This record gives sequence, C-alpha cells and structure tokens, in this order.
Amino acid sequence: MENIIDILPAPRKCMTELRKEKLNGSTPMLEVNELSVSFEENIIFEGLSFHLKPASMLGILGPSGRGKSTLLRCLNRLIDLSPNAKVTGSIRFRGKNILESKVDLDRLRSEIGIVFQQPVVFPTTIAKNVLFGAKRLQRLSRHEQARLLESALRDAALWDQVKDRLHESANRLSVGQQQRLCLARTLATQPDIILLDEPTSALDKKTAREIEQLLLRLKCRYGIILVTHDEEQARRLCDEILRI
Amino acid sequence: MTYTRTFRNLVKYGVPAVCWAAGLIAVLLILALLSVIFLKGYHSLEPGFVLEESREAGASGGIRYQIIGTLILVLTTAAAAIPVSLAIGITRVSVLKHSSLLRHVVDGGLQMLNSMPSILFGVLGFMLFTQHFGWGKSWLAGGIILGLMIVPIVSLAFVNHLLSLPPNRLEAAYGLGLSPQQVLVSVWLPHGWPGLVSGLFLGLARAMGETAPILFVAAVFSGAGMPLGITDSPVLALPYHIFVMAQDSFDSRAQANAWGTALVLVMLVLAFNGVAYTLRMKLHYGEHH
Amino acid sequence: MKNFAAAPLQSCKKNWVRLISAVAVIVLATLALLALIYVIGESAPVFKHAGINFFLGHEWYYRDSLFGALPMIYGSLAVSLVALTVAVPIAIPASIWTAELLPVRWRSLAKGVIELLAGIPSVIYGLIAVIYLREWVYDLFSPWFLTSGDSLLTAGLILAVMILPTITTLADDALCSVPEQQRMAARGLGLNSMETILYVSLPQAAPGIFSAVVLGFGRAVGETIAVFLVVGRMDGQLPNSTGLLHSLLGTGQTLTSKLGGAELFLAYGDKLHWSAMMGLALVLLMLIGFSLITVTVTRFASAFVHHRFVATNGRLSA
Ligand SMILES: Nc1ncnc2c1ncn2[C@@H]1O[C@H](COP(=O)(O)OP(=O)(O)OP(=O)(O)O)[C@@H](O)[C@H]1O
Ligand SMILES: [Mg+2]
Repeated sequence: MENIIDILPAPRKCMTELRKEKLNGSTPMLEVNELSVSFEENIIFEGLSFHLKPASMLGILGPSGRGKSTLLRCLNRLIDLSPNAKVTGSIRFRGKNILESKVDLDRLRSEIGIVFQQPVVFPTTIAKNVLFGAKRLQRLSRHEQARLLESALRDAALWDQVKDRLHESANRLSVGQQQRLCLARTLATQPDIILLDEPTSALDKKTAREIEQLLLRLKCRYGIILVTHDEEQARRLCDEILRI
Repeated sequence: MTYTRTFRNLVKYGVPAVCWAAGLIAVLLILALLSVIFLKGYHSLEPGFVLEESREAGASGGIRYQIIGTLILVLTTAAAAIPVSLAIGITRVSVLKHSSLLRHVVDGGLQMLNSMPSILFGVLGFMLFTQHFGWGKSWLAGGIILGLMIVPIVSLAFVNHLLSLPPNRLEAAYGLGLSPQQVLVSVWLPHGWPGLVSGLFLGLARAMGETAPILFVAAVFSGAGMPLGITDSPVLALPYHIFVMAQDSFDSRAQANAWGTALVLVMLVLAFNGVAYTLRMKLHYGEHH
Repeated sequence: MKNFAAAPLQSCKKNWVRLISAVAVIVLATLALLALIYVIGESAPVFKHAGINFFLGHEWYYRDSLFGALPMIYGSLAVSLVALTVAVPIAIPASIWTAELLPVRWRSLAKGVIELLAGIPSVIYGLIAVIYLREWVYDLFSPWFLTSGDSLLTAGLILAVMILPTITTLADDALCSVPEQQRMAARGLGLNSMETILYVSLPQAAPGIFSAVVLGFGRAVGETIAVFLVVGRMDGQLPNSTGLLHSLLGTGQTLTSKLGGAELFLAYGDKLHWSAMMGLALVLLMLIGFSLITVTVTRFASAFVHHRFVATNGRLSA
C-alpha cells in the first residue's frame, strides 16, 4: 500500500503574518498514526499516518471505494455509529488520543466538523438548518443567533443568495447551495478542523471554482482536510496531499 | 454555558430513562398477561377438558364442541377467504399494473375493510344471512363473515409477496399460452403461495379469536354439536364460550373453566401466529439466497 | 422455471384468470358499496323521525320511540380518549425504545413481543378486565362514589392495553423510516444521540406517529367485546353537574356495546327501532371514516413535503 505524503514544491499560501507564524513553529493540530479500519473481515486501509498543520489544507486523493469517506468518519469518530467497524492506531488531537474510550464524542464532533459527500439538509427552513447544531451546543440570544446566522452564511458564500428567503424550506435550494448550507451549518458550530468530503463533485466548473475560492479563504482560520477526486483541484488548494 | 450543559445532560439521560421505562412496561405487560392466562388456565388443561362436552352450563366438563366449532369456523373462514384474496391479489398485481389510481382505490378499500369494527360485520351478517336468507344461526354464515373480515390481511400478504418477486418471473410464465387453470396452478399458486399461506394463518389467528362477528350469526352457548345442515345449524365456539362465562363469572368453577378455555384459545392463536411468522421468516431468508 | 424465463413475452388479453379475478373484485366492491348504502338507507327513517335529536337527544326508550344517541357517542369518545390518554404516553416512548435505543438485533424481538399483545383475542382482554381490572378500579375508587367496578374508566383502561401495541409498532415504523443520514448529520454537528432523537427523528416521524395515534383511536372506537363486558351498558348516562370524572367513574354505554347487545334481535322486527340501530352503525362508521380520512390527509400532506425533499436530492444523482 502506497502511503506517500507529497510536499508540494510551491504550496499556495495565505499571506497573513498570523498564519506564517503558525506554520513555522507550531505543532500539528491532528496527528494520525498507524490508523487501520476494517469492517468485519474486510480491511479498508491499514497503517495510515499523516498530520494536519494549523491553518492549512490537507488533500486526500484516492480511487473510489478506497475508504476516503471512511477515513474522514474516523477522524471525528462518526464511524462509531457503524457498529461493525473496527478502528486501530492513534489519532492525536489537542494532545489526546481521541480513539480512547473516555473522550467526550459529542464535544469532539463539534470541534471537528464534517461536511458529507452528499448534502444532507434537514427538512426545515434555511435559518433553522444553519443554527441546527449551534443553538443547541450553546445558549445564544436572539441577537447572537442572527449574527451567527449571517456570519456563517457569509463564510459559506451563500448569504447573498438566500438572505431574502431565510425562512423558506431548505429543500428548495439547489444541490450546490445545499452543499454550502451544510458547510455553513458546520461553520456555525465553530469547529477547529473541517472535514470536507468531495464538496465539488456534484457541481459544474463555475460553481466548483466559487467553492474553491471559498475554501482558500477559510483555510486561514481552520485546519481543513479535503477529500477530492480531482488531482488539479488538490494541487490548486492544498498544502499537502495524501494519496491512499 | 452551565445552563446549556445541564439541559443537554437532562436530555441525554432523561430521554433514555423514560423510553426504557415505557418499553419495559410494555414488555412486562404482555408477560404479565400471558402468565396470568397460563397460571389461571393450566389447572384445567387435561385430556378430559379438551375431549369432554361441557356440563352444568359450563361449570364442569370440558370444551370439546367449542374446539370443534371453532375449527369448523376456521376451516370455513379459510375456504371463504382464499378465493376472494386470490382474486383481489391477482387483480391488484396484474390487471391494475398500469393504473395507479385504481391501485390506490383497491389498496384504500382494503385498508378501510381492515379497519372496519368487527361488530359491523356481525350486524350486517345478521341482517343478510340470519334474517334475509333466513338461515338463523349458521356456521356457514359465521365462516363467510369471518372470511370477508380477514380478506385484507390475506390479500395484502399475498400481494406484498408477489411484488417482492423479480418482476419478469410472472410475466415470462404468462407467455407460454397456458389455459386459465394451468396459469393459476403453474404461475400464481407456486409463486404466490408462501405469501398467501402466511397471510392466511395470520388472518385465521385473528378470526378464531373474534366474538363480535359471530355473536348474532353463528355461535350459541350450548345445545349444539356437529352441525348437520346450513339453516339453523349453530356451533359452539371458544371465544363465545368465554364471552358468556365472563358475564356470570361469580361461580368459581365456571371461572376456572373460562380460564381454561382462554388458555386453549390463546395457545391456538399463538400457534397460528407462529406458523405465519415462521413462514414469513423463511421467505425473508429465501429472498436473499 | 428455466423455460418460463426463456419463453417469449406475448400479449395476454385472453387471460381468463385475470378476467375472473377482476370481475370478482368488481362484484366485491359493489357488495361493499351496497352494504354502505344499505346502512345509510336503513337509518334514514330514524333521522326523519328524530331529526337532529338523534345526535343530541340523551334518551333512548324504544318503546316510546325515543332515540337519542348522544350518550352512546359520548361513551365511545370517552372510553377512546381515556385509552389514548393512558396508552400514548407509554406507546411513543416505547416506540423510541424499539426504534432508536435497542440494538438492531433486539429490536425485532422486542417488537415481536409487543405485537403479541395485539394478537390476544379481545374476549380474553374482556375476561381479564372482568376478573381483575374491575375489582382494582372498584377498590381504588369505592371510597368516593362508585357503585360497581363497571365504568367508562375501566373500559378505557382495558382499551389502553389493547391499543398500546398498535400505536407502538406503527410509531416504530414511522421512526425507522427517517433516513439514517439525517441522524448522521446531526451527530456530525455534535448533538448527542438523545438530542438527535428529539430534534431530528421525532419531528420527522411526527406525521407517522400522529397517524399511529389516530389509528389507535379508530381501533378503540370500534372495539366491542372487551368494552361490552366492563362498561356497564347503562343507557342515558351523560356527564352532569357532578362533573366529568364522576361520569367516567360511572357506568355508560358505547356505540359498539349497544350494537352488540341483545337489543339488536329485538330491533329487527320494528322498522324504526332497526333504523335507529343502523343509525348507530352509521355514526360508528363516520367515526372510523373520520380517523381514516385524517390518516390519509396526513399521509398526503407529508408526502407532499417529502416529495420536494426527494426531488431536490434527485438532482444530485442526475
Ligand atoms: N458500514 C459499512 N459496512 C461495511 N462496509 C462499509 C461500510 N461503510 C463503507 N464500507 C466499505 O468501505 C469501503 C470504502 O468506502 P468509502 O465510502 O469510504 O469509499 P470512498 O473512498 O469514499 O469512495 P468514493 O470516492 O466513491 O466516495 C467501500 O468498499 C464500502 O463498501
Ligand atoms: Mg466517499
């Protein structure tokens, strides 16, 4: 099994002083060591090791069915919801191995947010979708809710398109919009790391470019792991690439 | 922040506590009911009870003719339900294939029939068979009424089974230019029987415990043996027996007899349900292989 | 089987089995319709005779040709509502228990055990109610104003046990039909499993759970034998100045217990009396029809919402 981390010759950089500082001296936000996953007898991947630096983007490339989505689900332990999965190895986040049993999983999942391969919107309004997690994880006044709603939607580059229909059903949005809505929903919970599973696979070139721009902006503030099929896209966006 | 934490913890531990409590109540309730029926009834459960006729208005003796009567009703019910359910099932699966409106009408009609209160079957049967046809109380009328009552259960099971088959199987068999009887015998029955039979047992389990439909139409409390004709040929039946005994439950011997009858009835119902369940499980297993 | 599959597809217009089946179904549907028309037609005289007082009158003396069905309607509604009040708070958490909390392997077992409850014949519930429940209710409430254990409350309680499995399994089905990704999405945001149930599963299953409750109501309204045995079958009972609770603790009569009583034999000879009985049957039918219509409307309304949901997701795969 090949398990190479490419350090690209000229990674695209976000030119803030803050970020440079972080990049140079800081320790990784997430360190994965010898991670293996199997479903009963069926081994999906074995001995995977990589790390994610703060304010950077790690691309994950690999053929379909290789286990990319499964890998993402390990990183915030959503994989625990599939009872037949077996995970070994270690994932260090904030100095702790999150594969240990005493971790507060709900907290972990709010700190490592995920946007699924297919957008899953809740059958309710756009506003309620965005605040779905956030307003239950902490107590927010109406005013704070409104502010969070706007900032999350702005960060997901959706605000201008939906600002007049915040109380309409989210089901009426197009798929690309739904995908960004899911991103906004994750951003609203204020995670440290965002896991993105092929966020542009269902989109046309133009919308895909828009989302790429968006991700470049987000990269300054979050650690991002991006699963994609698109080699070019990975080169454009990512600081490091992991092939599995 | 602490408010949120407290509230979230309340949800996290409160909801499952309530749900577990409710689920256990439901399960314990059924276990309690079954054990009451068993503990109260098993004293009466001896060969004599099943084989003897009842005496002294049910206070002593057994329930021979009640069992026989219920079996007669069950057989008649099956005989009435099978052709009707076959017709409905075949129509639903083949003729209505292209008309979703009619399909909805048939499905809706079946659901309506399924949620009809059983007393209405009894009242209509009384009007039609007992009075209009002048049959008096008759086992045949009881069987027909019960048969109609379980048609939705049987035909839905039949239809669902046929629809779960690979679609081309029935179609292909149709192309052979067989005669109608051959089609029935070589297509519908061999492919559909498991659904039909499991639905039938489910329906019969329900029919044999019903009192209301046979109240006016078929059942009497005493004075009937084997029915010899159709007109004025009532039968004894287990549920009706319990029904009457429950109304004068002050004699302790009669009470014991009623519990014994209840146990026999429950065992019969469970056995029929068991057959239906096993068949359905077999089917389910079969589909994946 | 092999040559079935190999046989060419031909048109099968001359298929008698299908034809006979279709004719049989039409005949059956006509018969069902005729039965309905019969009930309506036969009940016409009593509406002509009593007018709106058939629904509002509270006296039923057939010798004096007085037919007021209000006490029976009240009785049916009262026992059913008591049954719902007791059963729903157990059934819905129990359905969450089977659908969401139990491991998959245990789920079908638990559901099967609860469904056993639905398989027990109603006359046996009646027997249990006569021998135990009636005594318990009597012991519990006799310090106040109870004269026997037969009461609307007793009937409602035994009905609660009978409709518990109906509501539980239907609500369980509704919960299980909520797509798994929805739960996954909520967990991914950091909600705990119980919040996911409260904010995702329950709201989305709400139409189905509501239908389950309504169908439970329909079952309770239509149940005859168990109610018959413990409701007391006293005509003309309505809540009066002593209050609702007092009336629930007293005897009563329901539509079904009236229809199931010996009065039916008596009524057949007398056109007006029989018509009054058919009027009761019609009211019963209307109550059942009302519950079925409610369920259908709920299903269509939620299908409409859901359809939009599916349609937008469909674009993804296209
Ligand atoms: N719950 C599960 N139980 C058993 N096998 C599973 C489960 N979930 C995923 N798998 C298997 O794990 C493998 C990897 O799936 P995964 O979805 O992670 O692939 P992927 O790399 O994301 O593919 P794609 O690029 O098509 O999205 C697949 O073979 C899949 O069948
Ligand atoms: Mg994937």
